[in-house]
Amino acid sequence: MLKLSKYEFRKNRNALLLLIAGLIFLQILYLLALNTKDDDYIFSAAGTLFLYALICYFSIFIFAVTNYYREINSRTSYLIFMTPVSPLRIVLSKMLTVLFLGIILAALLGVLGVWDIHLLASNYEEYTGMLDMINELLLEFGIKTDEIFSSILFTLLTFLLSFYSTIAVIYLCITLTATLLQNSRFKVIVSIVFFLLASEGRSKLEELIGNHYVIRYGERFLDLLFQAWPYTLLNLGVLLLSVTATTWLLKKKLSL
Amino acid sequence: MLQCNHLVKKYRSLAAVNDLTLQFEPGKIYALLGPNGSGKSTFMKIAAGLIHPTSGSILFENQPIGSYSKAHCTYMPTEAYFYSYMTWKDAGNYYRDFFPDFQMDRYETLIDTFGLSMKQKISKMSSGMTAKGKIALALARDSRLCMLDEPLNGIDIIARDQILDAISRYAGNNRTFVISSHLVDELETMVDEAIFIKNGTVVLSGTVEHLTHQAGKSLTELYKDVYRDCVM
Repeated sequence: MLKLSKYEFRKNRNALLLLIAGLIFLQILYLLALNTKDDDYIFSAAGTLFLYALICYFSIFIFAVTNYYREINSRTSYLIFMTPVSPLRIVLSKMLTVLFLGIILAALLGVLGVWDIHLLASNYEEYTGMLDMINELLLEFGIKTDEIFSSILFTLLTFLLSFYSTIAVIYLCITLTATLLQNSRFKVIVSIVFFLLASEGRSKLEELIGNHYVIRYGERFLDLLFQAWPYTLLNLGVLLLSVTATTWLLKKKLSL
Repeated sequence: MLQCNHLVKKYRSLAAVNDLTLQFEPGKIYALLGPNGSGKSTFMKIAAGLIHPTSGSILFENQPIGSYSKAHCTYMPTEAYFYSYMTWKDAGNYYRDFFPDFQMDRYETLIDTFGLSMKQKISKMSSGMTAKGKIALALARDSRLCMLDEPLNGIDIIARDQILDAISRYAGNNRTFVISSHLVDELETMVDEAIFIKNGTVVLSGTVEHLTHQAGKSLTELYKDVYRDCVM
Protein backbone atom coordinates (compact mmCIF):
# COMPACT_ATOMS: atom_id res chain seq x y z
CA MET A 1 0.00 0.00 0.00
CA LEU A 2 2.86 2.38 0.82
CA LYS A 3 4.49 1.53 -2.51
CA LEU A 4 1.28 2.50 -4.30
CA SER A 5 1.15 5.71 -2.27
CA LYS A 6 4.72 6.42 -3.38
CA TYR A 7 3.62 6.23 -7.03
CA GLU A 8 0.50 8.29 -6.29
CA PHE A 9 2.73 10.99 -4.89
CA ARG A 10 5.16 10.73 -7.84
CA LYS A 11 2.30 11.22 -10.31
CA ASN A 12 1.37 14.49 -8.61
CA ARG A 13 4.92 15.62 -7.85
CA ASN A 14 5.23 18.23 -10.61
CA ALA A 15 1.85 19.80 -9.86
CA LEU A 16 2.70 19.95 -6.14
CA LEU A 17 6.10 21.51 -6.83
CA LEU A 18 4.42 24.13 -9.00
CA LEU A 19 1.94 24.96 -6.21
CA ILE A 20 4.73 25.25 -3.65
CA ALA A 21 6.79 27.40 -6.04
CA GLY A 22 3.82 29.77 -6.29
CA LEU A 23 3.55 29.83 -2.50
CA ILE A 24 7.26 30.64 -2.10
CA PHE A 25 6.98 33.40 -4.71
CA LEU A 26 4.03 35.04 -2.93
CA GLN A 27 5.74 34.64 0.44
CA ILE A 28 8.79 36.51 -0.91
CA LEU A 29 6.47 39.23 -2.26
CA TYR A 30 4.87 39.51 1.18
CA LEU A 31 8.26 39.86 2.89
CA LEU A 32 9.25 42.54 0.36
CA ALA A 33 5.92 44.31 0.94
CA LEU A 34 6.58 44.33 4.72
CA ASN A 35 9.92 45.91 3.98
CA THR A 36 8.29 48.78 2.08
CA LYS A 37 6.18 49.66 5.18
CA ASP A 38 3.39 50.58 2.73
CA ASP A 39 -0.02 49.48 4.11
CA ASP A 40 -1.55 48.98 0.65
CA TYR A 41 1.26 46.67 -0.50
CA ILE A 42 1.34 44.78 2.78
CA PHE A 43 -2.37 44.03 2.92
CA SER A 44 -2.57 43.23 -0.82
CA ALA A 45 0.33 40.80 -0.47
CA ALA A 46 -1.13 39.29 2.73
CA GLY A 47 -4.56 38.91 1.16
CA THR A 48 -3.17 37.32 -2.01
CA LEU A 49 -0.98 34.96 0.02
CA PHE A 50 -3.93 33.91 2.19
CA LEU A 51 -6.17 33.30 -0.84
CA TYR A 52 -3.44 31.37 -2.63
CA ALA A 53 -2.82 29.23 0.48
CA LEU A 54 -6.52 28.31 0.53
CA ILE A 55 -6.51 27.48 -3.19
CA CYS A 56 -3.27 25.52 -2.70
CA TYR A 57 -4.81 23.44 0.05
CA PHE A 58 -8.01 22.53 -1.73
CA SER A 59 -6.08 21.86 -4.95
CA ILE A 60 -4.73 18.71 -3.28
CA PHE A 61 -8.21 17.29 -3.08
CA ILE A 62 -9.15 18.51 -6.55
CA PHE A 63 -6.02 16.84 -7.98
CA ALA A 64 -6.87 13.62 -6.16
CA VAL A 65 -10.36 13.52 -7.65
CA THR A 66 -9.42 14.56 -11.19
CA ASN A 67 -6.42 12.20 -11.26
CA TYR A 68 -8.58 9.27 -10.17
CA TYR A 69 -11.19 10.09 -12.82
CA ARG A 70 -8.52 10.38 -15.52
CA GLU A 71 -6.75 7.21 -14.42
CA ILE A 72 -9.77 4.93 -14.21
CA ASN A 73 -10.89 6.06 -17.66
CA SER A 74 -7.47 5.64 -19.31
CA ARG A 75 -5.04 2.81 -20.04
CA THR A 76 -2.68 3.86 -17.24
CA SER A 77 -5.11 2.10 -14.90
CA TYR A 78 -3.67 -1.17 -16.27
CA LEU A 79 -0.48 -0.45 -14.32
CA ILE A 80 -2.31 -0.58 -10.99
CA PHE A 81 -4.91 -3.23 -11.75
CA MET A 82 -2.41 -5.69 -13.26
CA THR A 83 -0.48 -5.75 -9.97
CA PRO A 84 -1.36 -8.37 -7.33
CA VAL A 85 -2.55 -5.60 -4.98
CA SER A 86 -6.11 -5.98 -3.74
CA PRO A 87 -8.71 -3.33 -4.70
CA LEU A 88 -9.03 -2.39 -1.00
CA ARG A 89 -5.32 -1.55 -0.79
CA ILE A 90 -5.55 0.37 -4.08
CA VAL A 91 -8.38 2.54 -2.73
CA LEU A 92 -6.75 2.97 0.69
CA SER A 93 -3.43 3.96 -0.88
CA LYS A 94 -5.16 6.76 -2.77
CA MET A 95 -7.05 7.94 0.33
CA LEU A 96 -3.86 7.71 2.41
CA THR A 97 -1.92 9.81 -0.10
CA VAL A 98 -4.60 12.50 -0.04
CA LEU A 99 -4.72 12.43 3.77
CA PHE A 100 -0.94 12.53 4.10
CA LEU A 101 -0.57 15.41 1.64
CA GLY A 102 -3.46 17.22 3.33
CA ILE A 103 -1.85 16.93 6.77
CA ILE A 104 1.64 17.93 5.55
CA LEU A 105 0.32 20.91 3.64
CA ALA A 106 -1.93 21.97 6.54
CA ALA A 107 1.07 21.86 8.89
CA LEU A 108 3.24 23.81 6.44
CA LEU A 109 0.57 26.46 5.81
CA GLY A 110 -0.14 26.62 9.54
CA VAL A 111 3.49 27.30 10.43
CA LEU A 112 3.79 29.81 7.59
CA GLY A 113 0.55 31.47 8.67
CA VAL A 114 1.68 31.86 12.29
CA TRP A 115 5.04 33.28 11.18
CA ASP A 116 3.37 35.75 8.76
CA ILE A 117 0.88 36.91 11.40
CA HIS A 118 3.76 37.39 13.83
CA LEU A 119 5.66 39.43 11.21
CA LEU A 120 2.54 41.52 10.52
CA ALA A 121 1.96 42.13 14.24
CA SER A 122 5.59 43.12 14.81
CA ASN A 123 5.24 45.54 11.87
CA TYR A 124 2.33 47.23 13.62
CA GLU A 125 3.58 47.48 17.22
CA GLU A 126 1.15 50.32 17.88
CA TYR A 127 -1.71 47.82 17.58
CA THR A 128 -0.18 45.29 19.98
CA GLY A 129 -1.54 47.34 22.89
CA MET A 130 -4.99 47.30 21.30
CA LEU A 131 -4.84 43.48 20.95
CA ASP A 132 -4.03 43.22 24.68
CA MET A 133 -7.00 45.49 25.40
CA ILE A 134 -9.34 43.28 23.33
CA ASN A 135 -7.98 40.25 25.18
CA GLU A 136 -8.79 41.87 28.57
CA LEU A 137 -12.29 42.85 27.38
CA LEU A 138 -13.05 39.29 26.26
CA LEU A 139 -11.85 37.97 29.64
CA GLU A 140 -14.37 40.31 31.33
CA PHE A 141 -17.10 38.44 29.42
CA GLY A 142 -15.62 35.08 30.37
CA ILE A 143 -14.13 34.38 26.95
CA LYS A 144 -10.52 33.20 26.84
CA THR A 145 -8.54 33.68 23.62
CA ASP A 146 -7.20 30.11 23.83
CA GLU A 147 -10.83 28.90 23.82
CA ILE A 148 -11.44 30.91 20.65
CA PHE A 149 -8.38 29.25 19.16
CA SER A 150 -9.69 25.80 20.26
CA SER A 151 -13.05 26.50 18.67
CA ILE A 152 -11.44 27.59 15.41
CA LEU A 153 -9.19 24.52 15.35
CA PHE A 154 -12.13 22.25 16.22
CA THR A 155 -14.30 23.76 13.45
CA LEU A 156 -11.42 23.34 11.01
CA LEU A 157 -10.86 19.68 11.94
CA THR A 158 -14.54 18.72 11.76
CA PHE A 159 -14.84 20.55 8.45
CA LEU A 160 -11.81 18.68 7.09
CA LEU A 161 -13.20 15.31 8.22
CA SER A 162 -16.50 16.12 6.55
CA PHE A 163 -14.66 17.25 3.41
CA TYR A 164 -12.49 14.13 3.38
CA SER A 165 -15.54 11.88 3.60
CA THR A 166 -17.06 13.87 0.71
CA ILE A 167 -13.94 13.03 -1.32
CA ALA A 168 -14.57 9.36 -0.56
CA VAL A 169 -18.15 9.72 -1.87
CA ILE A 170 -16.82 11.39 -5.04
CA TYR A 171 -14.38 8.48 -5.50
CA LEU A 172 -17.36 6.13 -5.24
CA CYS A 173 -19.30 8.11 -7.85
CA ILE A 174 -16.34 8.07 -10.24
CA THR A 175 -15.95 4.31 -9.71
CA LEU A 176 -19.67 3.84 -10.40
CA THR A 177 -19.36 5.51 -13.81
CA ALA A 178 -16.41 3.26 -14.70
CA THR A 179 -17.94 0.00 -13.48
CA LEU A 180 -21.64 -0.62 -12.88
CA LEU A 181 -22.75 2.26 -15.09
CA GLN A 182 -20.01 1.81 -17.69
CA ASN A 183 -22.39 0.87 -20.49
CA SER A 184 -25.07 3.32 -19.47
CA ARG A 185 -25.72 6.33 -21.69
CA PHE A 186 -26.55 8.46 -18.67
CA LYS A 187 -23.70 7.36 -16.42
CA VAL A 188 -22.48 10.89 -15.61
CA ILE A 189 -25.97 12.18 -14.81
CA VAL A 190 -26.79 9.13 -12.68
CA SER A 191 -23.49 9.52 -10.86
CA ILE A 192 -24.12 13.22 -10.14
CA VAL A 193 -27.65 12.46 -8.94
CA PHE A 194 -26.23 9.75 -6.66
CA PHE A 195 -23.71 12.23 -5.23
CA LEU A 196 -26.42 14.86 -4.63
CA LEU A 197 -28.67 12.29 -2.95
CA ALA A 198 -25.81 11.06 -0.77
CA SER A 199 -24.92 14.64 0.23
CA GLU A 200 -28.56 15.46 0.96
CA GLY A 201 -28.90 12.29 3.02
CA ARG A 202 -25.87 13.21 5.08
CA SER A 203 -27.16 16.78 5.62
CA LYS A 204 -30.46 15.40 6.88
CA LEU A 205 -28.64 13.09 9.29
CA GLU A 206 -26.49 15.98 10.53
CA GLU A 207 -29.66 18.00 11.09
CA LEU A 208 -31.16 15.12 13.05
CA ILE A 209 -28.02 14.87 15.16
CA GLY A 210 -28.03 18.65 15.68
CA ASN A 211 -31.54 18.41 17.16
CA HIS A 212 -30.25 16.14 19.92
CA TYR A 213 -26.61 17.16 20.31
CA VAL A 214 -25.68 20.82 20.65
CA ILE A 215 -22.00 21.73 20.56
CA ARG A 216 -21.17 24.08 23.42
CA TYR A 217 -18.39 26.30 22.10
CA GLY A 218 -16.04 27.98 24.51
CA GLU A 219 -14.86 24.67 25.93
CA ARG A 220 -11.41 23.12 25.78
CA PHE A 221 -10.36 21.47 22.53
CA LEU A 222 -10.61 17.87 23.80
CA ASP A 223 -14.04 18.58 25.32
CA LEU A 224 -15.23 19.93 21.98
CA LEU A 225 -13.92 16.81 20.21
CA PHE A 226 -15.75 14.61 22.71
CA GLN A 227 -19.00 16.54 22.23
CA ALA A 228 -18.78 16.11 18.45
CA TRP A 229 -18.63 12.29 18.55
CA PRO A 230 -21.99 11.79 16.69
CA TYR A 231 -20.78 13.97 13.80
CA THR A 232 -17.39 12.27 13.78
CA LEU A 233 -19.11 8.88 13.75
CA LEU A 234 -21.36 9.96 10.88
CA ASN A 235 -18.46 11.18 8.76
CA LEU A 236 -16.36 8.10 9.54
CA GLY A 237 -19.38 5.97 8.63
CA VAL A 238 -19.75 7.76 5.29
CA LEU A 239 -16.02 7.33 4.68
CA LEU A 240 -16.08 3.61 5.54
CA LEU A 241 -19.20 2.93 3.47
CA SER A 242 -17.80 4.76 0.45
CA VAL A 243 -14.44 2.97 0.62
CA THR A 244 -16.18 -0.42 1.02
CA ALA A 245 -18.53 0.20 -1.90
CA THR A 246 -15.68 1.49 -4.10
CA THR A 247 -13.60 -1.58 -3.29
CA TRP A 248 -16.51 -3.92 -4.05
CA LEU A 249 -17.15 -2.27 -7.40
CA LEU A 250 -13.48 -2.47 -8.38
CA LYS A 251 -13.33 -6.12 -7.33
CA LYS A 252 -16.57 -7.33 -8.92
CA LYS A 253 -17.49 -4.95 -11.71
CA LEU A 254 -14.28 -3.59 -13.16
CA SER A 255 -13.96 -3.55 -16.96
CA LEU A 256 -11.02 -1.51 -18.19
CA MET B 1 -3.24 -23.98 -15.49
CA LEU B 2 -5.83 -21.60 -16.92
CA GLN B 3 -9.33 -22.83 -17.44
CA CYS B 4 -12.38 -20.94 -18.62
CA ASN B 5 -15.89 -22.33 -18.94
CA HIS B 6 -18.70 -20.73 -20.92
CA LEU B 7 -17.11 -17.31 -20.56
CA VAL B 8 -19.24 -14.41 -21.76
CA LYS B 9 -18.49 -10.70 -21.83
CA LYS B 10 -21.13 -8.35 -23.15
CA TYR B 11 -20.95 -4.64 -23.79
CA ARG B 12 -24.57 -3.52 -24.03
CA SER B 13 -25.93 -5.90 -26.71
CA LEU B 14 -22.55 -6.83 -28.22
CA ALA B 15 -20.91 -10.05 -27.00
CA ALA B 16 -17.13 -9.56 -27.20
CA VAL B 17 -16.60 -13.03 -25.75
CA ASN B 18 -19.41 -15.45 -26.38
CA ASP B 19 -19.49 -18.79 -24.54
CA LEU B 20 -15.74 -19.38 -24.59
CA THR B 21 -14.48 -22.64 -23.12
CA LEU B 22 -10.70 -23.14 -23.12
CA GLN B 23 -7.98 -24.91 -21.19
CA PHE B 24 -4.31 -23.99 -21.16
CA GLU B 25 -1.71 -26.52 -20.07
CA PRO B 26 1.61 -25.68 -18.42
CA GLY B 27 4.76 -25.47 -20.54
CA LYS B 28 3.07 -24.86 -23.92
CA ILE B 29 3.05 -21.95 -26.34
CA TYR B 30 -0.40 -21.11 -27.66
CA ALA B 31 -1.28 -18.93 -30.62
CA LEU B 32 -4.56 -17.09 -30.17
CA LEU B 33 -5.69 -16.24 -33.67
CA GLY B 34 -8.48 -14.14 -35.08
CA PRO B 35 -9.20 -10.88 -36.87
CA ASN B 36 -9.74 -7.53 -35.17
CA GLY B 37 -12.72 -7.63 -32.83
CA SER B 38 -12.83 -11.41 -32.54
CA GLY B 39 -12.45 -11.32 -28.75
CA LYS B 40 -8.77 -12.19 -28.26
CA SER B 41 -7.85 -9.06 -26.29
CA THR B 42 -11.05 -9.19 -24.24
CA PHE B 43 -10.29 -12.79 -23.27
CA MET B 44 -6.73 -11.91 -22.29
CA LYS B 45 -7.91 -8.94 -20.22
CA ILE B 46 -10.41 -11.15 -18.41
CA ALA B 47 -7.60 -13.60 -17.63
CA ALA B 48 -5.41 -10.69 -16.48
CA GLY B 49 -8.15 -9.43 -14.13
CA LEU B 50 -8.69 -6.15 -15.98
CA ILE B 51 -12.19 -7.06 -17.11
CA HIS B 52 -14.88 -8.80 -15.12
CA PRO B 53 -16.85 -11.30 -17.24
CA THR B 54 -20.62 -11.04 -17.63
CA SER B 55 -21.01 -14.75 -16.93
CA GLY B 56 -19.06 -17.99 -16.90
CA SER B 57 -16.00 -18.90 -14.92
CA ILE B 58 -12.28 -18.51 -15.31
CA LEU B 59 -9.78 -20.10 -12.97
CA PHE B 60 -6.02 -19.90 -12.70
CA GLU B 61 -4.63 -23.02 -10.98
CA ASN B 62 -8.13 -23.64 -9.63
CA GLN B 63 -8.30 -20.17 -8.07
CA PRO B 64 -10.53 -17.31 -9.27
CA ILE B 65 -8.77 -14.42 -10.98
CA GLY B 66 -7.43 -12.08 -8.33
CA SER B 67 -4.25 -11.24 -6.44
CA TYR B 68 -2.89 -14.80 -6.67
CA SER B 69 -3.31 -15.06 -10.45
CA LYS B 70 -1.94 -11.55 -11.00
CA ALA B 71 1.20 -12.47 -9.06
CA HIS B 72 1.81 -15.39 -11.41
CA CYS B 73 0.50 -14.06 -14.73
CA THR B 74 1.97 -11.48 -17.04
CA TYR B 75 -0.17 -9.59 -19.48
CA MET B 76 1.22 -7.38 -22.20
CA PRO B 77 -1.58 -5.18 -23.62
CA THR B 78 -1.55 -3.76 -27.14
CA GLU B 79 -2.01 -0.24 -25.76
CA ALA B 80 0.59 1.96 -24.08
CA TYR B 81 -0.22 2.04 -20.39
CA PHE B 82 2.57 3.97 -18.70
CA TYR B 83 2.43 7.16 -16.66
CA SER B 84 3.53 10.19 -18.65
CA TYR B 85 6.62 10.80 -16.50
CA MET B 86 7.98 7.26 -16.85
CA THR B 87 11.25 6.26 -18.45
CA TRP B 88 12.05 2.60 -19.13
CA LYS B 89 13.99 2.62 -15.87
CA ASP B 90 10.91 3.90 -14.01
CA ALA B 91 8.78 1.20 -15.63
CA GLY B 92 11.34 -1.44 -14.59
CA ASN B 93 11.38 -0.12 -11.02
CA TYR B 94 7.58 -0.23 -10.92
CA TYR B 95 7.52 -3.84 -12.05
CA ARG B 96 10.28 -4.73 -9.56
CA ASP B 97 8.28 -3.12 -6.75
CA PHE B 98 5.10 -5.09 -7.42
CA PHE B 99 6.16 -8.36 -9.05
CA PRO B 100 8.62 -10.49 -7.03
CA ASP B 101 9.40 -12.58 -10.13
CA PHE B 102 10.65 -9.57 -12.10
CA GLN B 103 14.32 -9.87 -13.11
CA MET B 104 15.87 -6.42 -13.45
CA ASP B 105 19.12 -7.65 -15.00
CA ARG B 106 17.21 -9.58 -17.67
CA TYR B 107 15.07 -6.51 -18.32
CA GLU B 108 18.14 -4.31 -18.79
CA THR B 109 19.63 -6.86 -21.19
CA LEU B 110 16.41 -7.01 -23.23
CA ILE B 111 16.11 -3.22 -23.34
CA ASP B 112 19.66 -3.07 -24.65
CA THR B 113 19.03 -5.89 -27.17
CA PHE B 114 16.00 -4.06 -28.54
CA GLY B 115 18.03 -0.90 -29.09
CA LEU B 116 16.38 1.11 -26.32
CA SER B 117 17.87 3.04 -23.42
CA MET B 118 16.75 2.94 -19.78
CA LYS B 119 16.81 6.73 -19.64
CA GLN B 120 14.42 7.22 -22.55
CA LYS B 121 11.04 8.73 -21.74
CA ILE B 122 8.36 6.28 -22.86
CA SER B 123 5.84 8.94 -23.86
CA LYS B 124 8.32 10.22 -26.46
CA MET B 125 8.84 6.80 -28.07
CA SER B 126 7.36 5.64 -31.36
CA SER B 127 4.74 2.89 -31.21
CA GLY B 128 7.29 0.30 -32.36
CA MET B 129 9.82 1.28 -29.68
CA THR B 130 7.10 1.24 -27.00
CA ALA B 131 6.06 -2.22 -28.16
CA LYS B 132 9.63 -3.48 -27.76
CA GLY B 133 9.86 -2.02 -24.25
CA LYS B 134 6.55 -3.62 -23.25
CA ILE B 135 7.80 -7.00 -24.44
CA ALA B 136 11.00 -6.54 -22.44
CA LEU B 137 8.92 -5.89 -19.31
CA ALA B 138 6.77 -8.95 -19.93
CA LEU B 139 9.65 -11.31 -20.71
CA ALA B 140 11.66 -10.09 -17.71
CA ARG B 141 9.11 -11.72 -15.40
CA ASP B 142 9.35 -15.40 -14.50
CA SER B 143 5.58 -15.75 -14.38
CA ARG B 144 3.90 -19.12 -14.93
CA LEU B 145 1.56 -17.66 -17.55
CA CYS B 146 2.63 -14.99 -20.02
CA MET B 147 0.00 -13.45 -22.30
CA LEU B 148 1.28 -11.26 -25.12
CA ASP B 149 -1.36 -9.34 -27.05
CA GLU B 150 -0.15 -8.62 -30.58
CA PRO B 151 3.53 -8.48 -29.58
CA LEU B 152 4.77 -8.19 -33.16
CA ASN B 153 2.56 -5.26 -34.21
CA GLY B 154 4.54 -2.27 -35.37
CA ILE B 155 7.84 -4.11 -34.93
CA ASP B 156 10.46 -4.10 -37.71
CA ILE B 157 11.45 -7.43 -39.27
CA ILE B 158 14.81 -7.70 -37.52
CA ALA B 159 13.33 -6.91 -34.12
CA ARG B 160 10.59 -9.51 -34.71
CA ASP B 161 13.26 -12.19 -34.96
CA GLN B 162 14.84 -10.90 -31.73
CA ILE B 163 11.48 -11.00 -29.97
CA LEU B 164 10.59 -14.47 -31.21
CA ASP B 165 14.06 -15.63 -30.23
CA ALA B 166 13.60 -14.13 -26.74
CA ILE B 167 10.21 -15.84 -26.35
CA SER B 168 11.74 -19.19 -27.35
CA ARG B 169 14.61 -18.59 -24.91
CA TYR B 170 12.35 -17.80 -21.94
CA ALA B 171 9.66 -20.37 -22.70
CA GLY B 172 10.10 -23.78 -21.06
CA ASN B 173 10.44 -24.50 -17.33
CA ASN B 174 6.71 -25.12 -17.40
CA ARG B 175 6.00 -21.53 -18.47
CA THR B 176 2.93 -21.10 -20.61
CA PHE B 177 2.80 -18.49 -23.34
CA VAL B 178 -0.38 -17.25 -25.01
CA ILE B 179 0.39 -15.06 -27.99
CA SER B 180 -2.19 -13.32 -30.11
CA SER B 181 -1.14 -12.13 -33.52
CA HIS B 182 -2.17 -11.60 -37.10
CA LEU B 183 1.33 -12.57 -38.26
CA VAL B 184 0.50 -16.26 -38.34
CA ASP B 185 3.44 -17.30 -40.52
CA GLU B 186 5.90 -15.85 -37.98
CA LEU B 187 4.36 -17.82 -35.13
CA GLU B 188 3.76 -21.07 -36.93
CA THR B 189 7.21 -22.54 -36.30
CA MET B 190 7.29 -21.79 -32.58
CA VAL B 191 3.80 -22.46 -31.21
CA ASP B 192 2.55 -25.79 -29.93
CA GLU B 193 -1.18 -25.16 -30.22
CA ALA B 194 -3.42 -22.78 -32.14
CA ILE B 195 -6.81 -21.45 -31.10
CA PHE B 196 -8.96 -19.77 -33.73
CA ILE B 197 -11.48 -17.30 -32.31
CA LYS B 198 -14.34 -15.84 -34.32
CA ASN B 199 -17.08 -13.56 -32.96
CA GLY B 200 -15.97 -14.34 -29.42
CA THR B 201 -16.19 -18.12 -29.82
CA VAL B 202 -13.61 -20.83 -30.49
CA VAL B 203 -14.17 -22.16 -34.01
CA LEU B 204 -11.08 -24.35 -34.25
CA SER B 205 -8.33 -25.45 -31.89
CA GLY B 206 -5.66 -28.10 -31.53
CA THR B 207 -1.96 -28.75 -31.87
CA VAL B 208 -0.39 -27.07 -34.89
CA GLU B 209 0.84 -30.45 -36.11
CA HIS B 210 -2.63 -32.01 -35.98
CA LEU B 211 -4.43 -29.01 -37.53
CA THR B 212 -2.03 -28.61 -40.45
CA HIS B 213 -1.83 -32.37 -41.06
CA GLN B 214 -5.62 -32.76 -41.01
CA ALA B 215 -6.22 -29.74 -43.29
CA GLY B 216 -3.19 -30.46 -45.47
CA LYS B 217 -2.36 -26.77 -45.30
CA SER B 218 -0.09 -24.42 -43.40
CA LEU B 219 -1.43 -22.51 -40.43
CA THR B 220 -1.50 -19.32 -42.52
CA GLU B 221 -3.64 -20.94 -45.22
CA LEU B 222 -5.91 -22.39 -42.54
CA TYR B 223 -6.26 -18.91 -41.03
CA LYS B 224 -7.36 -17.53 -44.41
CA ASP B 225 -9.91 -20.33 -44.80
CA VAL B 226 -11.40 -19.81 -41.36
CA TYR B 227 -11.70 -16.03 -41.63
CA ARG B 228 -12.36 -15.67 -45.35
CA ASP B 229 -15.90 -14.40 -44.77
CA CYS B 230 -14.95 -11.90 -42.05
CA VAL B 231 -15.59 -8.25 -42.96
CA MET B 232 -12.38 -6.17 -42.47
